Amino acid sequence: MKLDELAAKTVYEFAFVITPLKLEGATGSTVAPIAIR
Amino acid sequence: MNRTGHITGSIILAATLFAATSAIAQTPSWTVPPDSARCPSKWGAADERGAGNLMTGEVIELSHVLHEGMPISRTRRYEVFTKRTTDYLGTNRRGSNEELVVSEIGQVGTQFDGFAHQTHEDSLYNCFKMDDIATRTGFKKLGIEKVGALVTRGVMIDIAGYKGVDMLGDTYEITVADLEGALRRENLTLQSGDAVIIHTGWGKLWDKDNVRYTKSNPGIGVPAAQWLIAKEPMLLGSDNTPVEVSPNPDKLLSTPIHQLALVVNGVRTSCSRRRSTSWRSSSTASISWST
Repeated sequence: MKLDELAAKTVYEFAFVITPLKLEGATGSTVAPIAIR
Repeated sequence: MNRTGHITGSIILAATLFAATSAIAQTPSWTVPPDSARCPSKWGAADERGAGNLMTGEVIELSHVLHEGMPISRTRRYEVFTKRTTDYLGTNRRGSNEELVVSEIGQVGTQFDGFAHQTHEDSLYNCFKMDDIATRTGFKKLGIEKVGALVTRGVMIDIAGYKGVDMLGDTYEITVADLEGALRRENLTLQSGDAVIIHTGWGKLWDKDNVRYTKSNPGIGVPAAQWLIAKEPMLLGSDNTPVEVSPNPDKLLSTPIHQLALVVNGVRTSCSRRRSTSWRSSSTASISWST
């Protein structure tokens, strides 16, 4: 993940949202997770 | 009027009505406004985001942009083929563009591992067996579509910050003492169901030094992973490829925490994936990776 902004803003606790794509039978998914304050 | 005249009159009337209707059909019900009416956008001449600009509240994005040239395993690809419109359709002259993406799309860039990704020999999470569930077009069980949207408390454990460095060392193994110290510094306690995100600083190398980014990375070792898994996280994530330290200091082991998390304990992982991993040791914890 890209954590530089969280680190720079010293954001340690947040609402975390991750929504993997519904790729049937897949081993993983590209994701664009977010931290909401 | 005699019969012939009546028919002729009807034909003439029909022809007149048809011509009138055709003339009306030549005028479209809507036209695209001229450029001067829609450009520049009300959000500025350089704006590319459109109505997305209406968003309020603070959202911090945790994903890298997927692009050709990002760090990626030499066994994988990410290729984009743009298909530009071949025609402008209708009186409104509509063009349509799209792209074909060829990639191991579940395993490149910022990604999320499902349970089908890793095994111990032929056995997966919850002891599903490869031969029972694997097909040529996907896994019948443990597919990523079973995960659903995850919304939970996120905790970032900033190990780099705790140690006062921009970036941990190339093969630094994060210890339990590191995790405890960093959490104390942040005045936070982990709770069951947390998304535990570990900041190593290694993400600074993404798109800056892709060779070094992928060659090795700092991360949690087995003891730290076991400590975290005991806290019942929903998932683990980090700003490196495999979340765990790579290579593992125990040269006999192949990326063990992927197995510990995914196969053994049912915890998924999310990272900025570059490298494919192979499995050897087993443990009974599950982790969700987010890389």
